[in-house]
Amino acid sequence: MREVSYNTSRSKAAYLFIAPGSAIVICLILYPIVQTAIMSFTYWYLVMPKKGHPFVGFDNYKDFFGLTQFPQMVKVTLIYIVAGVLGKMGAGLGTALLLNRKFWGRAVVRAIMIIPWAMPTVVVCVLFMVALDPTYGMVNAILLDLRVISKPIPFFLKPDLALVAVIFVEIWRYFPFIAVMLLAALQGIPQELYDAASLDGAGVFRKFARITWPWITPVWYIVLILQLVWTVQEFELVYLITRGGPNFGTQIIGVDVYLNAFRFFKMGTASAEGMFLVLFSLIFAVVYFGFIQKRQETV
Amino acid sequence: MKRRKAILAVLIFLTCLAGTLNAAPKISLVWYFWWYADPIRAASVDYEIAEFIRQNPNVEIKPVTISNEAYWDRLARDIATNTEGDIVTIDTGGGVNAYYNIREGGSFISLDKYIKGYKLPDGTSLEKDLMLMDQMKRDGRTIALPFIWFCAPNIAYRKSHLKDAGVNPDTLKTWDAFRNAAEKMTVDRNGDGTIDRYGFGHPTYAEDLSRWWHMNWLWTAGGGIFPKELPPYTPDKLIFNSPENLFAVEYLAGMTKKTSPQGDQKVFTLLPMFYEGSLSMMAIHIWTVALIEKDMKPEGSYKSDFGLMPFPAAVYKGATKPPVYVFWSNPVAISTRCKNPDAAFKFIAFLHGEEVQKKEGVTNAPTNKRVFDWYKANFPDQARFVEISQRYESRITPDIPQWNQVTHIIQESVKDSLLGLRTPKAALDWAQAEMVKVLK
Repeated sequence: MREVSYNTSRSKAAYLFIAPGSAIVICLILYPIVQTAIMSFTYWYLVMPKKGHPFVGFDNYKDFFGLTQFPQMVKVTLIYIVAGVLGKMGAGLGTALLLNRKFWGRAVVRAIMIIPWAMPTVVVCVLFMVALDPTYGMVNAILLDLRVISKPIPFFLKPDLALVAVIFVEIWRYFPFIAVMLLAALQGIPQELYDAASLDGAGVFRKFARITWPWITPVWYIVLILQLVWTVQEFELVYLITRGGPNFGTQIIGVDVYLNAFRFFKMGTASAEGMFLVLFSLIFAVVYFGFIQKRQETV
Repeated sequence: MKRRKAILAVLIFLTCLAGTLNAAPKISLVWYFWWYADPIRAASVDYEIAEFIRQNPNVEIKPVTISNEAYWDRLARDIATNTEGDIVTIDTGGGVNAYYNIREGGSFISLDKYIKGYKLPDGTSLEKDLMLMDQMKRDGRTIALPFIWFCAPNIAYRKSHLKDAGVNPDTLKTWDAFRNAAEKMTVDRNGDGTIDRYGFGHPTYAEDLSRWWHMNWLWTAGGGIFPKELPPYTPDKLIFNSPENLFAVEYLAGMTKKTSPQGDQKVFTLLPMFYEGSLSMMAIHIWTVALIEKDMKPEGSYKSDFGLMPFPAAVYKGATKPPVYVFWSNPVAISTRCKNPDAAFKFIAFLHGEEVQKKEGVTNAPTNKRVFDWYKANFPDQARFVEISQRYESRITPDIPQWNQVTHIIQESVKDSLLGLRTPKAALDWAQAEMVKVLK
């Protein structure tokens, strides 16, 4: 009897401890998701309102999937995610490896490297819009002076070039965060392992494959899944630079969510798109956690 | 001594408290608008608010200034979440119905009972002395007062550029003559192989392509969105991919390619080019006149070098089609969630008094008819702009609830045509199909 009471009182205490955190998660995360899910199945066209927001089934989803530019949007979003994440992870890893080595001025370089990530997104976007402008931009001016090109490149006037440009800005903006995370992981690798490997005659690639990579893998995968989820949700950078153009060339789903919600007042359709992105992110998360579990079982 | 000080302190405290209790509670009103970034207009706003508060010390007006780009999305969101200001500025050219319909029963209160018989201290009758009041009605109710109005477009030009090219502005009466002149004035002056003076500038940047940048080209050619933009606004009445619209867009695309700075251009990159002389002609609207007067280079050149001419006529299939202008206003409305509608009405009525309307005249046309003669005498260029505009037919874009989505489609299709991303025919056909879906 006494043991049962002790366990019950321990359980009560545990619930009390997790209550505040749970309340925050429920209010700030679960509730908005549930509300968005409900809105995605109800009528929410603000400029032609209907009382009580009646249930409309899958009409909002049909509206989203039936968009003329839907196939283009999905293609652009996938390219943006894959290229953006691979680029950020690659640039971050390369930078971390370089900054893990000792060289004169390393501290200064480490500090300067943070700047793209620390800058407000609006500033970054304006910077690149000006730098890549065909008439006034520095990039075209330098390339013309060096005779690499004979006429200015209209970066934001061709859909393919515009997509490359926004992906580049995405990589430039966010790779420092990845570099910092991986650098921290690299700093935790004991130097003796590298010394022993050198004694055994291991080269650079072998050291990376056998020492560096296994050590940083846990951090790598956490950062990877975070980057995937964050890139799926991207809106700000693309909207500020190209508004999804030219000719839907950079219209990722995040931009379309904004346009539907706040430009066209179609909250139902925007909610359906939002739920689609949630599903997208969940798929990545499930795959990731399944992979981690398999690794742990193997170990 | 200590006791006397304590008594004195208590007496002072009680006096202050009595003063506070006796003071009438201050009414606080929030006013939403977007043009504060313009220093000329900001000065007018500062004056208006300060003067109203001086006359009504128990009322406080808090301006909420949002950038033009963000204003409309923010207004919709705030109305949807019941957080918009007590007084909001709207735009009859950007659609009023969309915002009015967000709240059940209407987002703005009816002003009919306030307007009836209302006269300002200077004698202005809100019923009789304001223009554009017919545009202020929704569901048979007056929901806003017009405040200020605009008209567009006339063609601004630099006289010296036309003179250098041997062009007489009086001959630029048709689109063909206009294009020929623009081509003559598109030159490489320093011989380095790149054009440094452009004959004509037209904004391609989608946000700017609203009713006062491209619709008048379509209307002048005989096209538009619906026939003469009159109801019924049903999918079967759409004419966006009509031959007339195609003619207009193809013309604009050709002009953009041959005579305009390349790339995605905004109004606020073209205007500085006009100021400093690398752009010879551009279509402007009334509020641009004051900006050009202020910033045209070299300093003092405005008087001698600024020219204004009517928008040219289109010649389509042998028929000359006179220009069609667009007139619109920035009315002020009172939100249905305003707790002090009487005080709010007093303020928006004040904005239509002669003094305020004179202040606003520097960048806009006044809606108070009693100041028209003063306006002509004191802002002759702006008055001339209005006089030219009033010679021709004017239209306004259809005020349908789906306007925001329709205008987005228009902007994307015209922009893609001008930048060569799609052929005008493909772009207009796409836009027509999309608009049909939206209206269904």
